[in-house]
Amino acid sequence: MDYSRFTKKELSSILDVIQMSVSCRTEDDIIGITSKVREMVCADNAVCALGEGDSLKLIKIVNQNYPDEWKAIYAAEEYFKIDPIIRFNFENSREHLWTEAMDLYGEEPYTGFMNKASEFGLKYGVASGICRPGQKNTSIFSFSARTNHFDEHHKSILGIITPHIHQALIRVCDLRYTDQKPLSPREKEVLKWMKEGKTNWEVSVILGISERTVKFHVQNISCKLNAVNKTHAIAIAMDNGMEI
Amino acid sequence: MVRSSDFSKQELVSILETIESAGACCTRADFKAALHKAREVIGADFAVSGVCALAGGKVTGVDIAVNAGYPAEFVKLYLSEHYYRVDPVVRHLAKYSFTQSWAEIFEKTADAGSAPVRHVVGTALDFGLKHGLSTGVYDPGREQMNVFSFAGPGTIFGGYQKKVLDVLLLHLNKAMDRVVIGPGDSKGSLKRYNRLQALD
Repeated sequence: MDYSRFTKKELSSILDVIQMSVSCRTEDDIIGITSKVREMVCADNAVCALGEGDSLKLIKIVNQNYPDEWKAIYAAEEYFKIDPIIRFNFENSREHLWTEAMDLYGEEPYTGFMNKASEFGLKYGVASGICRPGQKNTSIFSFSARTNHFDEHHKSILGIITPHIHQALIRVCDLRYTDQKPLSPREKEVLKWMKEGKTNWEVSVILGISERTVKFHVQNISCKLNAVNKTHAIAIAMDNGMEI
Repeated sequence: MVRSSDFSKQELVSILETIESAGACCTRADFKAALHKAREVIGADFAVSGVCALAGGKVTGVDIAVNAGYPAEFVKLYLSEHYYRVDPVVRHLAKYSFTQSWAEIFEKTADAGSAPVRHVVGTALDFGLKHGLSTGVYDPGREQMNVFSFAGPGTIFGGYQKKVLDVLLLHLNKAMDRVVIGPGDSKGSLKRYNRLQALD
C-alpha cells in the first residue's frame, strides 16, 4: 500500500482506528470505530455485521446509525439473502463500491432490494469485509450516503483498516458469547497486587497461597478481561471502573 | 492510546507500513523483515525479539526468537553464558513488562553496580549496545514473556521511540506468536523452535 498518497489527517485517523480496534472490547467501542470510519469516508450511515463462515447469514449486526426501521425490515424479511452488497462481499472479500455490486447483480431481486434501501437514504455506498474459505466468521462493514461521491480513495482507506476492525468485531462478539463472569474477590486481590508491581511469587507470599494458585488466578483474570498481559489486565480493570 | 497526531506524516507512513508488514507475516523471514522495519522506524541500529521463561518472579530461561541486527557473537555469548540471569533489562521486564529505556531500567536496578551486572552491561557496550529500549508482553498461560529490544551506540531512546514501540508492540507480538512461536499451551515452550535458527 502506498501510504504517502494519503493526507496526514487521514493517516492519523487510520492509525487511530487501528489503535481503537486493538483495544476494542464492547459493542459501543465498535460503534465508535465505525463512526470514525464513516467520517473518514464521508458517509451518512454506517453498519457492520458478523456472518457465518459458510453462508450469507448474518449472526450479529452492530448498527451505528442505519435507520432503525430499515434495520427492522431487513431482519424481518431476511434481506441478507437478496442484498447484493452482502453477496459481493461474500464472493469477493474485498473493499468495493456499492455500484460495483449493483453492476454485477443488476437484476431482480437485487434491484428491488436496492430500490427499497434507497427509500431510506441508503442509495450509494462503499463496503468491505473479510470472507475467507474455512473461516468460522465473516464480516462486513458498510457505509452509505444519498449522493454518489465514493471512489477508489475511500476503498483504499477501508482496505487498510478492514483486517483490524474485522478482528475487533470477532473479539467483541466472542466476548459477548462467552460466559463472562466478574472477577472473584480473590482474583481482585491478586489484581490489586499486580497493580502494585508484585510478581506472582511475591503475591503468593503476601496472600499466603501457593505460587501455582496465584498463576491460576492470573490466568483467569487475563481470560475474563481478555488481556494480553498483566499491564493490559490492570488497564482494562481500571478502564472498567473496577476498584483495585 | 498513543496520540497519532504526535507523529509527522512520514512517521505515520512508516508506522503504518510496519503494522501492515507485521499483519502480513506468514513466515519467520517475514517477521524478521517486520522487525527490521520496526527497528528503522524507532531509529535503532539493532533489534532482537526473544522469549523468556518465567518462574517465581525470575527469568529461568531465554531464547532468541528472531535477531534483526544484534551482533551474532554477542547473542551467542548471551545464551551460552546465561546472561539473562544477570541482565537487568530482562529481570526488570519480568516484573514490569512495559516499554522502558535501558537508562530508566538501570536507574531502578538495585545491583547495577555489582560485578556480574557490570560485566554483562560492559560486554554489551563492547558490541555497541549502549542505549536501548525494551518491552515485553507477558503470557500467563504459558508462563513466559515475549521481549522486544532495540538498541544502538548513539541513539538516546526517549518519549518518541517509546510511543512508536507502544503503537507497534501488539502487532509485532501477534505476528511473533503466529509465525515464530506458534500455537501451544505447554510450559517449556522455549523448545518449540530451533535455537540455532535464531543466530541469523
